[in-house]
Amino acid sequence: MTGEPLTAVVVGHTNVGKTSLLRALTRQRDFGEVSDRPGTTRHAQVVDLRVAGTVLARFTDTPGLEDSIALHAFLAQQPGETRLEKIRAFLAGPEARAAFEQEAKVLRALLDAADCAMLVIDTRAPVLPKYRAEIEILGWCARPIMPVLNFTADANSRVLDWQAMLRECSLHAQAQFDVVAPLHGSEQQLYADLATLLPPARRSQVAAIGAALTQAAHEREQAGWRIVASTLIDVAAMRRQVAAEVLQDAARRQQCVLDFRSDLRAHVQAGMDALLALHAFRAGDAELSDLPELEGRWKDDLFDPELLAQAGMRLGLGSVLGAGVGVIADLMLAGLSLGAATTLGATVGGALSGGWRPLWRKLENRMQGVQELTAEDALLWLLARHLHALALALASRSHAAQDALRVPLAPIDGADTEPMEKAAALPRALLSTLSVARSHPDWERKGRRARGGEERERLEQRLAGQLAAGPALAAG
Amino acid sequence: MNTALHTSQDSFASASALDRAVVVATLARIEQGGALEDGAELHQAFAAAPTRPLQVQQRAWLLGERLGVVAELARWRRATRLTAFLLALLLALAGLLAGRAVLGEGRSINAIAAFASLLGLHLLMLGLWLIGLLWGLKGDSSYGDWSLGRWALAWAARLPPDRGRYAPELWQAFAALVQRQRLWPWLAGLLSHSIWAVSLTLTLAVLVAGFAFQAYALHWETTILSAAFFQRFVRWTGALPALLGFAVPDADAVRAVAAQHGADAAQQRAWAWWLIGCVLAYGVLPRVLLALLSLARWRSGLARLAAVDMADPQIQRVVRRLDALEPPPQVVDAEQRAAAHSAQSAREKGRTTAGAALIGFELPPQTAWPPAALAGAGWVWSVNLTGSAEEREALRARLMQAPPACALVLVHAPGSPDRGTARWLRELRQSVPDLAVLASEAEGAARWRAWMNTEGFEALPLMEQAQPAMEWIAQRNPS
Repeated sequence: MTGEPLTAVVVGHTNVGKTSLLRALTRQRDFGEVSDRPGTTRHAQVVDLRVAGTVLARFTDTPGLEDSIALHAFLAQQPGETRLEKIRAFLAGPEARAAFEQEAKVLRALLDAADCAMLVIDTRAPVLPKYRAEIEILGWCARPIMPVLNFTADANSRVLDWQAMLRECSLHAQAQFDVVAPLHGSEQQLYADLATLLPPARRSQVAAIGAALTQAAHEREQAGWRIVASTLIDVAAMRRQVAAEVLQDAARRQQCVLDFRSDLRAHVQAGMDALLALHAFRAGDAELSDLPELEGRWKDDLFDPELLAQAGMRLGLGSVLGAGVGVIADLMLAGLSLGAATTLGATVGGALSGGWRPLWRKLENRMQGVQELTAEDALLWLLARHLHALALALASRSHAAQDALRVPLAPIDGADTEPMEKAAALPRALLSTLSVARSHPDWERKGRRARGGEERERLEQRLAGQLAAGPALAAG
Repeated sequence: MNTALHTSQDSFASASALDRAVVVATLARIEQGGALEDGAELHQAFAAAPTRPLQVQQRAWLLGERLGVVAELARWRRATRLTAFLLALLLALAGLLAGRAVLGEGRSINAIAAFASLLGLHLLMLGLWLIGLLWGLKGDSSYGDWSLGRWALAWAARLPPDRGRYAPELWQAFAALVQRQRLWPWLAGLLSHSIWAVSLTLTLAVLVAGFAFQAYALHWETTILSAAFFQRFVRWTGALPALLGFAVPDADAVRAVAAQHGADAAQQRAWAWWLIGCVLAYGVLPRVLLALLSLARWRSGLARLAAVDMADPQIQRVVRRLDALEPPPQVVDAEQRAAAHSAQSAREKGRTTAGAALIGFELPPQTAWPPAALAGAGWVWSVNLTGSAEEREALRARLMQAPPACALVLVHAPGSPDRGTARWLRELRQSVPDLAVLASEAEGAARWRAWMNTEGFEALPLMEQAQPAMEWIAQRNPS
């Protein structure tokens, strides 16, 4: 992009979310200070919108125009032929550093070669004379004004009143942008609307900001799917061998399950951290609410045959057959808990789709009494949904949001059985893609050596493609 | 250090786009095993390049130099050249031998067998390449692990002498990079087609030399086929060489050579030209054209391949860290706090009229006025201000004439108080020192209290409900 970046001064009454708007637009979680205390921002501060290192826009955050009624009266008394001259006379005078110090900062920033003003409006507030005075004063500065209507999604929003008032003030262009929960694409729309207010020479440049943002968002989204895919491959590839004598001892067996669980959690946590970092959020901004369904599963027993059978019914024939194999094996291996063998059976069933080699290895292990722990399909499906929802939520999350994100996940049992059945094609496709990873325990990323080669990457790409194309995942 | 910096800058600047992309991909692969200590490189790259993709490349290049990846790449390129040269030599030898084999055994040549031995293997491999091409372009399948070109590259990467520590990562990164852009058929094709082209050209040269300076008798033999079959075969295979101007044996010539010595010199010449034409048209030309096509496709794909893959999670991680190096937002107009206002009342008592006034301030337009809950307090007057300058002026005049003894100000609690509110409240307090504020609802009242405390209105009571406000009034208006 050529030419000077767009310069916009963000103005508005106190506490309408000017600083929050800039956090959202520049994707800087820590810009400025945000609170519900009136007059939080008391200085003018410049923040850049950068895409791929290039400055596309330069915003000035300003304090609120709080005392507009008094200022309006004061400005009218200033010497000068035109309104602009009156403003300049005011800025040169003593009150610009005393009673109207904050207001002077706003007007000064606007007159200092700004392309336009973005007027942030809290649409929950009633339309009062002081706001009209504000708009009138801004109009005196002879700069294009783009009203940005905030909190339009709020139940108390008086957006229609505000729109009528803005039309009265001859401000016909306006953008709706909820700074905490912006609609998809509203950012691009904001720049497109802004471009129409600017002189032709600047117009195409500002319109290009939207395109650059879309491109960057697309890249982040793709990277997000690859992170999710890679995490799922890690979990699918997890394979822990348990020697026969360990299995005899209930306490040690329990320990194996606990170790497996903590490794699995580490993979999921690493994936979540990577997603958060990708979208420039802090590590604590999303919580790994201990997947409740999992919690129960772990607490009872990993080898709970009923849960497995449930999973089998949901996930298609493969695991059911596997569970059947397990039941038969139970009869032969008296002494092992029923569940343990069923798990093994399910693993064998799952492995069948991964080719004969792992099956052979499994038979060999079976001869030597060695058992293997893997994550079953129901768990993978659950994780896939969880991470899918997280990736989607983070991609659209505003950097002005202050509460930690809790990804709402519909429970896997009961209520959502029907949508799950409807969308069954997707889990089957996803899990069959993942089943390749099951036969590659070396694909699990741990330790210092790079894991897997071209093949793992190819699987990751394919899985990422499936995830990106699967909105049905979130619907569950 | 300074000169070292310059040499590394130079080597980065002079590196080809492919080299840069390979180094970036290799570093991403190495970093999958754990983060590298890259503080210095990150800062250096940040300072040296203007855009993120370039900075990412430069950082990878600097790290690659430190870890020996760049040197490994140079070594690999040398090894690839050597491998390609050796292979070309080998196939050239094979081509020579094929030519010699056809021309070697006596002065009589079985033309059909010669056709098959000169072109058979080549056509078979070409067919395999085409299948691989269709397969490779179709989807995400692995392309031709058996293709000659790919095998040559992989072998070069594994060549033992002075192999570096990161040779496997380099090869994997390169392979994945080429695979992602689906360029394997074209890269492998470029290598194998050019090698085959060399080999077939040599075969052709041997063939031409043999036919030019020695007399051969070409013939065909059969046990079960008819002469018509050979006529058809020669006509069809000869169609393409004929377009290029080569003589093709006619039906008579085909019949004549069947009897070993029945053909005249012109018919023999036609047979020789047919064989030469076939090797050229079905051997050399397709290979040369496909090599050129592969080169063109590889070239055009190179631009895509050389672009930094910004959708790669590893690269996004580096980009985030580069973002963090940007200077923090600048304060351009710092706060200069004005002297605290004295919010004390300055008015002497005694001029007031008895009674309490009710003042609404910046209430939402739909608020009922006066509010029902405050109706029975016997106000001397009540006014609801939206806050316009005229209303404020009117209130000011009224207060000058007959200020009430006390006043209750009703404010919209969810709304944010501001300095305009503070100014108005201070003014009001000058005329009516005995003030109380009633919040219209509980939500936001705490914020008002905190704000009043910082703005010098600590002494003013703030009520959240109508009942205490009525009691407050009743205390002051005993009547």
